[in-house]
Amino acid sequence: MLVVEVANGRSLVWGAEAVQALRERLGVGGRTVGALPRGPRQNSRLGLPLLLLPEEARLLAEIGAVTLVSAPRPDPSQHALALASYRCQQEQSFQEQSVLAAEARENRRQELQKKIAEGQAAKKQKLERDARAGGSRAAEGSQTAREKEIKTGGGQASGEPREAGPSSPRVASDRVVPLPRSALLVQLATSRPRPVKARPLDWRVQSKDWPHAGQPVHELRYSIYRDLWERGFFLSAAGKFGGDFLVYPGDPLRFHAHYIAQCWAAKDPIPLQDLVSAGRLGTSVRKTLLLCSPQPDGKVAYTSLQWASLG
Amino acid sequence: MEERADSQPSSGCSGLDAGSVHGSGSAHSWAPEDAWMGTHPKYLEMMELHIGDATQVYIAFLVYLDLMESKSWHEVNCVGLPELQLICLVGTEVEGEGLQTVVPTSISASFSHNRIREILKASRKLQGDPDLPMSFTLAIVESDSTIVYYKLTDGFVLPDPQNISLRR
Repeated sequence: MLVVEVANGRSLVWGAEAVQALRERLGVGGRTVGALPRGPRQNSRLGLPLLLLPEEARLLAEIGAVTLVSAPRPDPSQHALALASYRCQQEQSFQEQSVLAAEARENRRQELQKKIAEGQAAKKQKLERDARAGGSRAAEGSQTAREKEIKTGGGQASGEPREAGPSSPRVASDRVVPLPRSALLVQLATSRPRPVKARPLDWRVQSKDWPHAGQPVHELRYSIYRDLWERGFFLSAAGKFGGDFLVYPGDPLRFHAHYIAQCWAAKDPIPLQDLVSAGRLGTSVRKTLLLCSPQPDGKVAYTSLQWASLG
Repeated sequence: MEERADSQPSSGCSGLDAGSVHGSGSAHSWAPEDAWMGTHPKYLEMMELHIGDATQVYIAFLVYLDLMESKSWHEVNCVGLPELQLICLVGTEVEGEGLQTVVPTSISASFSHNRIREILKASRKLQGDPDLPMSFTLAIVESDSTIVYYKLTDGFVLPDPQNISLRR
């Protein structure tokens, strides 16, 4: 059984397999709403979680395909505890990584031991050569040259201890380069470390997490959503086109929507201005505006509206 | 249609209010009957239906003129639907083709879906062909007498095929 987490009326699916099953087996698409870690400043492609329309969530619950659960809320009294345990975990991780980093560094040093020795020997030779040449230049009596020489000498002096003590490099490297805090690798959890007990949610009863129950708009939209879904259509939200649902003949990745569905209670007056604007827009995007109203007998009446040029 | 403006430049007629401007003030207010259209046989025929007020008749007449003069329909007749309080136009665009129902209405009106369904059923009776899907055309008239037509059909009607040009 797939699990849908509901919080404040929003139904979210977190598992990739669940999303795939809903889309391919049940014809329920939802919308991905999660930012991609590598592309946080765009919204043309989004990832998990999947947000379901209230109608989608209710349909899935009614046909027994999913269990709705109230999303577990963090307990404020447990917050400090959780934070402390997280910090403790991170500190432990830092210690482990420090040891590993030091080991890795030492191994690397061992591997390069020969090269280092060669390099040091070459440097020494070069310095000696320079010192000889510098000495002859100094004899020619330039004050600035002598100053330079002194500086060079100073630099040489600071390098001296490392050269002088090849027997104690480990101590030096450990002390000089500890693992900086900023280099700590932080693990991002992709699932809960411990499963949390979630309370099942009853979609028939109004609650903080499920405010839709009994709302006339929800009941109206649901009866139409369900009827269209049972006819084999694939539906999505139609905010883009000012309707209630976009109606596709199949997976939206493969088809254009054919209809923009508007849900109206059968007796509610529809202002013609609304019909004109919706009909005009539908024509320009090559979709039929579909007026949908549940009838007293439980069926749904559909009327298609299209612009007519009457050439 | 243009003649209206030519012959009555100061009337300020918004058309849709024509039925309600009578009798306010001492001067005789202008009414559609005063213009040439007031004596048009089709206008008189519509008045004889005794449906709705003068505004509704005026709107129906505008649509009739548009169909006949601008869209060059072959034939248009007006039919009253007393139970729905509607004046319908039933006509053929081209000689020999099937009947179509046109329902004139003002842009400011509202129709419930129930009412639309009732008009669909009435339209089928008017067209007399039970095999065709129920449909009618709504002629929505703006105050400047411009008209847009929307076809309403029972059930699902596929949109025009998506002409996707294969540009490279």
